[in-house]
Amino acid sequence: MTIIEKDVVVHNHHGIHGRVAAGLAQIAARNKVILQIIHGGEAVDCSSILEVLSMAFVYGTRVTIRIEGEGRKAAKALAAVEKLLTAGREE
Amino acid sequence: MSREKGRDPRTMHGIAASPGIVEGKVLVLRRRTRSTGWAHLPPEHVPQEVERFRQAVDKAEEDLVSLRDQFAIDLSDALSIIDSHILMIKDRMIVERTADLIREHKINAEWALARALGNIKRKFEAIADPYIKARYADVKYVADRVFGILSGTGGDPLTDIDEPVILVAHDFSPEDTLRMRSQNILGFMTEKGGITSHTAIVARSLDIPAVVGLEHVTRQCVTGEAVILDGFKGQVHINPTLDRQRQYREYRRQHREFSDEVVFYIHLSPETRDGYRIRLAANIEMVTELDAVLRYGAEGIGLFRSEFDYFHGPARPDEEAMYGTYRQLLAALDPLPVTIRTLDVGGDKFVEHLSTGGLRLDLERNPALGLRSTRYFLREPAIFITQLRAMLRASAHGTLRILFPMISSRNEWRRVREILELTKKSLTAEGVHFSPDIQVGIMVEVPSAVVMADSLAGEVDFFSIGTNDMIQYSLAIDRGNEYVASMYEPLHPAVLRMIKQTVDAGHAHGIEVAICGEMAGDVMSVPVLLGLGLDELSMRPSALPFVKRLLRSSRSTWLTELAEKVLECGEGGEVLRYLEAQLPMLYPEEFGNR
Repeated sequence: MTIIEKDVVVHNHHGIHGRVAAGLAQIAARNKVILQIIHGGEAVDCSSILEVLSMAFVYGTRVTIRIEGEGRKAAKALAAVEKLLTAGREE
Repeated sequence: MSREKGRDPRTMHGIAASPGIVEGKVLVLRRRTRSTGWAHLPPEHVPQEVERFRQAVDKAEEDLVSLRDQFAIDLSDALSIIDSHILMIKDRMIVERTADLIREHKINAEWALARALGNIKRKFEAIADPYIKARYADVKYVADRVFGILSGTGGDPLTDIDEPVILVAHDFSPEDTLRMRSQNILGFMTEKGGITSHTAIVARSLDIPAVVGLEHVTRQCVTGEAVILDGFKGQVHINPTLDRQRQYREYRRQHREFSDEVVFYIHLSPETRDGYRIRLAANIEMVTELDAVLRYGAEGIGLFRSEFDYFHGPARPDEEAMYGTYRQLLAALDPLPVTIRTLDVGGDKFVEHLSTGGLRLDLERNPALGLRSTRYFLREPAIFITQLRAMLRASAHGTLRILFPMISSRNEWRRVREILELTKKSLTAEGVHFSPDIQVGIMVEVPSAVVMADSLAGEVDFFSIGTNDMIQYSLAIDRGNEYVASMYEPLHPAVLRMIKQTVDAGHAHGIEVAICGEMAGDVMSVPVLLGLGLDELSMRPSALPFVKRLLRSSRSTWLTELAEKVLECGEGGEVLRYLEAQLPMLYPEEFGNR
């Protein structure tokens, strides 16, 4: 079991909104990892899209991504999360 | 369509959520009140109540999945919204929490779900970001679906519609909207909603015209009334007059005919039959509109309203965030010009986090004549210097033009330019690269700037005429005031003469004169504006193909003559009558066959 942590800046124009939050939940499920976002001393598990949304991560927020899972899967999930959160253009 | 007796024609203004014009009878859907009742349960009923709730959730999920599977994958925007609803319906903040509440308080599922929902609502209400906050609407749609199943009233409100109608309701969910495609639905209007709501996004991806944010519309309309819905302008005409019906039939005919030709026109150059060329550019306010700018073949962005970054977020946007926005615009259009207007704050656009130093713009008695835009700039230069730095840095990635709004005197302009020069110097000192060829211009919208245009023209690189404010200031008409709104006349000869005066002053000094108000995309006004000699018309992207088509079927001699004639008219009505007589002859295909 590996644990990866990495800081990223939310680049989605509207912050982590519905579809981005849904994307995070899908990444966690697909890779069978525990995916958390840590910000301001609080951690939220991405399997709940409503909990993620209610944290209101707006454009420009720096957050820590924490992934717990099998080594290769965790790395794959991290790459997917980074891609999703830095996709500046959508919607 | 005949007018119903006793009911007056009236127009309502809302938000243009999805483009298109439709005409038909309305069907008003009343909000269903839930009369399920809340109850305490005997302890032995608790497990079966939890089970009843879980089954309702499963059924709701099943419905959504089967709905999604009915549609093709080309609706990816709409489908990803449904996908997020499918995840929401299974979310532990809804499912686990409700089940816990049923067990803990021995209450029925409806009551428990309402309480769980209330908890989520409080969390979302505390969110400052308006976009994420608005996602509570999605939670509500999802929960309503479960409520409907629990109470056995979960049927589809859109079944049994056997004639084509325009739907009116308090609100529609994205799923309702998706289902409209397979029904006889011409378009819809709602009380709630905004342009970024998921319902609006689905409507756009399905080409269902929609106007949202119409206050009290469910009470303003009666089922069976005739309505024209204009999803371009965000207007709804209830019981339209015969004149209005005629006008819209014409618009619709043009639009229908034209949408087939859009692709064809994109690659043609914007010039008259005798080779007179002007630039057709787009007005936008969000980076996400870039697709439309490119799709409709704009030759640049004539007006980027930079307010979005300031109005959507709890804090003042930093230089990096704005640089990101501007760079994206410039790079996407390169080498075509991108005109970015500095923050146009004040008036009706006020934002709390900008009121530093004890300024209370919300307390102004007469905000349209108050501390607006550039006046505010000079009062709080630090805010603007951040924006200017972001623009200057972005200039390395394309062709930048900076536009300063609301300039009313030369002195004001000189102070602005001085700040710009100082900002450039400090960037140079920091070794930051920016383009040496940035054009700077002013918006001509205050009458004093029109009168003094010849003096200002020598000190700027271009003029851009903002007709919306110019009309308001010159005719002393507040368009939002229903008592005088009918006197807001874009084709008033006073307005046309002011445009002409500005163009002449600019050309005498060899600078370009653009126009970026709504008039630039208005069918009747375009031939006149072309005749007045403007170098650029900038408009909402969807108006570009039609304007280009008008231009390409024109001859420059007609246009000049048309403009000369209307400048001699004594009042707005005379201009209109003249155009109504002339345009069908000059443009039989576009204005003929009435």
